[in-house]
Amino acid sequence: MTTTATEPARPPGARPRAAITAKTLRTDRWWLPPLLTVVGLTAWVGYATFRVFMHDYYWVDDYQYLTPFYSPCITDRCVEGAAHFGTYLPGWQIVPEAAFSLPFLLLFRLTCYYYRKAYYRSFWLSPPACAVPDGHASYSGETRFPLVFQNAHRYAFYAAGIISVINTYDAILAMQSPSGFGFGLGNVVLWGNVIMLWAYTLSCHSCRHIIGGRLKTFSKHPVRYHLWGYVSWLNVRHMQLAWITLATLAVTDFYVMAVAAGWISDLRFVG
Amino acid sequence: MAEHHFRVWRGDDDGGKLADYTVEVNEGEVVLDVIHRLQATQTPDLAVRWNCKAGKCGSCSAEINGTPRLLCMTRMSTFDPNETVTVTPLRAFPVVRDLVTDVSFNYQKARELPAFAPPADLKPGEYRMQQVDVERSQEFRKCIECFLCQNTCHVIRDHEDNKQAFAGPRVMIRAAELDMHPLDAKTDRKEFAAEEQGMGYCNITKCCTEVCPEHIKITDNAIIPMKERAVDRRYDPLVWLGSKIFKRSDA
Amino acid sequence: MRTTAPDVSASGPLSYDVVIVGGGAAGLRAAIAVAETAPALSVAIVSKVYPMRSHTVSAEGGAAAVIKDVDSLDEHFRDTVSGGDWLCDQDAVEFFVEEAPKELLRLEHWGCPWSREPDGHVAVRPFGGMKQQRTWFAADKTGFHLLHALFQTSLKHQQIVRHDEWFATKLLVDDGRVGGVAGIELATGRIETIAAKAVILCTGGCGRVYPFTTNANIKTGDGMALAYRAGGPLKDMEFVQYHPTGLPFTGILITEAARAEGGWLLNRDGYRYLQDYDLGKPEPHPVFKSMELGPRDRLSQAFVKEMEKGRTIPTSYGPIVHLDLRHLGEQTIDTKLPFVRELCRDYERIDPVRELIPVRPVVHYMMGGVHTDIDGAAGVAGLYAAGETACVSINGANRLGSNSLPECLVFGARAGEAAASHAASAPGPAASLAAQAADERRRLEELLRRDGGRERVSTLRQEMQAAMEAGAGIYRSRDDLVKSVDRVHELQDRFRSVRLTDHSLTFNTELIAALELEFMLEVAGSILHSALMREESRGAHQRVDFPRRDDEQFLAHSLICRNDDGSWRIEYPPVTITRWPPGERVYGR
Repeated sequence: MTTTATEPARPPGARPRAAITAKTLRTDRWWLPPLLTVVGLTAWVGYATFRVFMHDYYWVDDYQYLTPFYSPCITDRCVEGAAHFGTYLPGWQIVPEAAFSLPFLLLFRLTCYYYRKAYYRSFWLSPPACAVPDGHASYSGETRFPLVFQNAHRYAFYAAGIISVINTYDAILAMQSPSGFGFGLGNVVLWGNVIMLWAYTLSCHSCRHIIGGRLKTFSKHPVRYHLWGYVSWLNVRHMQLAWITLATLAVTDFYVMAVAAGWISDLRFVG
Repeated sequence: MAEHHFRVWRGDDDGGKLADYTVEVNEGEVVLDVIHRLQATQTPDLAVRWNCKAGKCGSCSAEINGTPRLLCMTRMSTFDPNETVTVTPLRAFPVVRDLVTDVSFNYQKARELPAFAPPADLKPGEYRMQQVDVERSQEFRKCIECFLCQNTCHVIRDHEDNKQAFAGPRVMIRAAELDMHPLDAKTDRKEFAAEEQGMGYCNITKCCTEVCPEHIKITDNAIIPMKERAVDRRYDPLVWLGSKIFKRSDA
Repeated sequence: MRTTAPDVSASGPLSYDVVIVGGGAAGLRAAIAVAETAPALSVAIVSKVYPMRSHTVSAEGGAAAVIKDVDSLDEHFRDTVSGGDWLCDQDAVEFFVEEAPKELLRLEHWGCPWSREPDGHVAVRPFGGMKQQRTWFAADKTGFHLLHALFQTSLKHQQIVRHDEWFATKLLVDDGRVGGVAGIELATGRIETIAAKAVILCTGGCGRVYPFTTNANIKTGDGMALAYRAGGPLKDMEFVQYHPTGLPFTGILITEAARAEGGWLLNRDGYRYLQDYDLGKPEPHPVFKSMELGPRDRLSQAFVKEMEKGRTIPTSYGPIVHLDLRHLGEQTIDTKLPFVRELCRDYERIDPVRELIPVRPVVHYMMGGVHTDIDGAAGVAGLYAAGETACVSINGANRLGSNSLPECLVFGARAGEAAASHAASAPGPAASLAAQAADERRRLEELLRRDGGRERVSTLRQEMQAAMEAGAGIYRSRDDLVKSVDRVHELQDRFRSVRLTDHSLTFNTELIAALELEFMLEVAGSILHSALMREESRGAHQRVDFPRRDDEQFLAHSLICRNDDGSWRIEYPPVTITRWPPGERVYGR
């Protein structure tokens, strides 16, 4: 009754596990979530790359709309109104307008505890799903270079906080029209995006730790304990917020592009 | 009452195979009831561990349709009447016989962890704690040691050679629980988690949390906070500076 | 499949100073006591399950110990003695109430997360039969958290060795002195002598001799049978506690804390029927020692009377009454009784916030057990017992809820200390033990290989359980008891031709079930004999043919001994009364 085991390589001395032929006996559609992750992330990254190197349609002069993909706008290509913080970089094709913020935002999401789970499972198959074998023969996790730098998530969080402030500033500046104060559908889109970005940023596990998680005795720090409670409430929704913000970023950018390119005109409520 | 098709892994450390059974299932039953019926009517020599039958003792861990679960907490009503139910032993540990595996690995790792260490000068009856602080550790202490998390964690499930360096989620929540205990005076638990328990092997893919029958948020509430606590010590100059300036160690 | 025993000569004989059978609260506490008082001694815990599988995990409500200023040791003493219908040994109770707070505080130092009052002190709740709030709790998984703390603490002591998943089959006794146990390792089937200078039995109760019980599968009275067969007497075995609130069908316990927090018991008409049974008047809020906070024996007896009046609710799983928690509100239920809600949802598909919980009495606890003195010494030199297996006795004729966890700690520690001091001066194991072990090995191998038998373990077990329920239920009579005694004798005869279909040595669950059944038949016999001979009604032992308490004849423990030929004899040593002569048990007035 002996059958061949498919268990992982066994070091000398280790006793045998149950000899089960199938790699996994899961009968549900375990492959669906990683597949959706791959599709979703690939599509988003494709769109974002395309947009970042388009170098156009990022600014609506009438209403001062700036897409988050170009904020802060710091290359010589930037149109005058969009460059709130000055221009420091040459306007070459390979330099994104938001060359200051994009690397940090990328780092923030790459080292995010949720995204790590998502791409380790879906792109790296380590593991593709629970109780489905790892796609790799050996595994050292995040103990070595380069993955040990995942622990730098906290710095990316600090940077993301600063960038969220800049996005908020952009949203405030955008309450404009040629005749002074203004408010249109574009503002709703920009504010929606900013609020979601804050929610995602504040729901970060590092934030939860810094706010109160690191305390040993909650009861000695009632204010921080309460703040920790709020952050924890958000933190439970970190995954949802991670996806929602990808959507709001893309929608915001697309809306600004569409208005800037003149494909649609902004629906105005005031001004 | 209905007939149901079951496949159960039968064998020992010399090998084995999935055996087919057709067995009666009554309303309200759990998989363990069906396994007991198999023992009573068809195969008295089927080896399985069980005890409380109420999800409290953690004995009857196994894999049902490939997913790590407790036999006594898996209702038959969750399966389609025509669906074959496959029951196999835990795959991360050496098999003893049929559905029984040798889980002693987990007890070795538990013994390596330094015990709760209250301040030496605190006398019996002098403890004062607030309920919020108690509840934080009660979450982790709910663990029934069914070892489903240990079994499903790919770090050791798929890589036997990591068993030396990696303690597994069950033991890591224990370290977290003690580090978050206001009356634990040991200060190097983060270092222990990073260096001795192999916390860096965890790539937070959250399967431990998914399979936990006690619904302990192992990854979000224990492992990630411990990773962050290790970062405080090892990688974060801002926190280090803050603690120097304000002379706070625990905060 | 492996059917030949592995070669064990390489591993050498197993020998320790102290061997503890059972790894629950009492066993672990005893092991820690040995390790702390005599660090040079070696200790082994022989348990038929892995750690944290022991039945202590199921204790929910709490652990009683005096901690509040308004409370006093004397009141705890009086509640316990009257709760036990004056069958408790009062010197033991005095010692118990004094030690209990120390033990629970010690547990705190070992990491047990006791729930707290707003000022940071330990929180206590009311409990059945207790006049003050003195039940410490850790949410509603007290036993679980307590066992956890004990287990983690035991890991600190390197001299504590565990033999997990070993089943002790026989106490080895030579010349009136214990020399160890014979045990079978489940994983390999190897049968070994585990030599010891002292043995502590901590195997818990024997609820599984009954068909409907809160007790887990492992509660088969192993320690009681081991001692009984080795010549140690069993004490007060007729006192079997029915817990009034078990879920029908599964027998899963709804903790007494549900009533302590203000739950009501309602009959078919939605009427709080306990007021008809001299248990006080219905008040909207819980009153100490009144109505739903009466002792368990009286509540379970009231259920039977209601059933006889036709006022219970018939279901396919037998008659039930309702436990009503709805008026407590969702918040109280979620903070104080989260596990109750979880169990009701998982097993009954009901939500106690909005619905009534069906309950019925269910066998829960053995007041009786291995006869020991206050040090846990069990009448054979070197043999000790503690916890539910033992009968010191502090529980008398009825145990109060939340006294059993501190009992495990207080007397586990005491037995550990006594065993350590015995072992320190005792000589090594006698040479004759090897021969006994060889006999035991032959016996087990014969059972494993036997051909031609016709009886099945599961059939015999079911018949025994039915006989126990019929003869030794909540109300008993001479006729029923005699019938059940005969039945159990017949089953013991039939057990001699039991047949196993599994001949494997590796994790043979059928073999273990057979050995457990053999033990349970012994214990069942001792319960029935003791119940038959006690011609009075006291606490949990209610005879319809002798409805009154008889202090003239029976203010005494029943001590049942097994003769070598399997017959038995009972003696009645008097109860120790130090300061409170027997009086009337008063509840609700």
